Amino acid sequence: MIALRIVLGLLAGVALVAQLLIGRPQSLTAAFVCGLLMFVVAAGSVAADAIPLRAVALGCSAATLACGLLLALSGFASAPPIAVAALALALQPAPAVVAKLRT
Amino acid sequence: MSDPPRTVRRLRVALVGVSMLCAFLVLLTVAAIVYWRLYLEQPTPGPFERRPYVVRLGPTSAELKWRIDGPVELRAVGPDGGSFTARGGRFDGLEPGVRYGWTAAVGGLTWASGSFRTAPPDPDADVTFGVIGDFGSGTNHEWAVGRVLTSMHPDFLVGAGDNSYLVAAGPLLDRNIFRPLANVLANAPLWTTMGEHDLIWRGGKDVADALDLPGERGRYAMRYGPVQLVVLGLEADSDAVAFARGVLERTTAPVRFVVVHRPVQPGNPILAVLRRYDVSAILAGHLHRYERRVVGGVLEFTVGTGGEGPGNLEFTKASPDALKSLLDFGALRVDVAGGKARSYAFIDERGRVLDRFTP
Repeated sequence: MIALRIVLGLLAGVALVAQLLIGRPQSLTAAFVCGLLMFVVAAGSVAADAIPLRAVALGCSAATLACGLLLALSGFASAPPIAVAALALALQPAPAVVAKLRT
Repeated sequence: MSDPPRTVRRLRVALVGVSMLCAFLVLLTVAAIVYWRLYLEQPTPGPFERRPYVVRLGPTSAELKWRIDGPVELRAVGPDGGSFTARGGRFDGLEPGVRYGWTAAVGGLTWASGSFRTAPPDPDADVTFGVIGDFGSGTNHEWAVGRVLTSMHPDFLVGAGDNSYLVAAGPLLDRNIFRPLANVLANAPLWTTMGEHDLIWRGGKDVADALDLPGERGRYAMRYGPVQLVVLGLEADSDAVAFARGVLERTTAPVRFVVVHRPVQPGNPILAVLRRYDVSAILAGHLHRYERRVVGGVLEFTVGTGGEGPGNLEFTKASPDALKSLLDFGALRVDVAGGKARSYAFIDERGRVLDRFTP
């Protein structure tokens, strides 16, 4: 679902911008909130890509789900939130790019 | 790829919604389990839901509170063998400046005991008290600091706020205050102020009721013998300044302390008032460090080291003007004698004196 990908991209973008513009530890609050929202939306995205099955998109959604968790826990764990947010952002257009390359 | 039929599309949308809902419920469940395991789960030994603890001490009276479903026989015995029975938790007709041992019997057996010292009338009397802040977490650190406080044999305790994490709601107070500090509270009342975590829940009413604190939102005056405590609440704002001035104008106590949750910063108008009335020190919390500073000519101790811990160090930076700044858990011991604050000692959770200051 494109709408879910857009929402996920926006959340990742907000988290990334927050990491770039706001200093720690305030930026961790943004990472926590964006991470939790990303986790919920990515769960929907996984379901959307599972039926009908679109393997690449499903993989990206599952990876985004993991990124959401990592982002939310980045204040407690050693995961660098800026890298996680960047990865989550890059994952959103990935299925479309892969599809285009195949054609 | 051809578009799937409408029924499949609808099914897919429903599946997406259900998946998102499930993810949300998973987060909610995990949060509830973590909160339950970290904050609520603890057994209750003995007949008392909350063991008796001292809440008030006057020159000739003392008052204890407790929680139990049933009658309690509360008695106190003085050094001369004189025996007193409490009515409604209150002992009257006691001698000033005397330590009494108390027992609380349930069903013919003593289940709790402790002692208290009535306020001494002599302005030069020796008084010892302990200071803790940001403690109400129920962690091993808080329990350790509680044991350190017990070893000080304080006449009373001063709390710098954040008495219960995450919020100071009634059901959490046993875990966060009354069990870790049970032994010291059996011997000394806790006169505390309110921090953000207290005020967020009913304006700190649950803590104030449990500890029988006067005033509102952690702002009140309390006197014990030669010591006058001016307890300001969350911060030294303009109302607090007026309150402090009023109390300090009236008091005849020779030794004065101001208690506030957030440390007073340079330039605060209250500093002129405190200098004028010769306040011995400001006792604060909020910052999860121990710090000794001189702010605007007034000695200030930050003792946010009672058990919650510093967490992310980015939140817990040392004050640039601190004469001493430590991240260790512990409590401050204050000794008053001869109408003056004689010494301050920060004792960590292992019992080591990490800072000692004699004015």
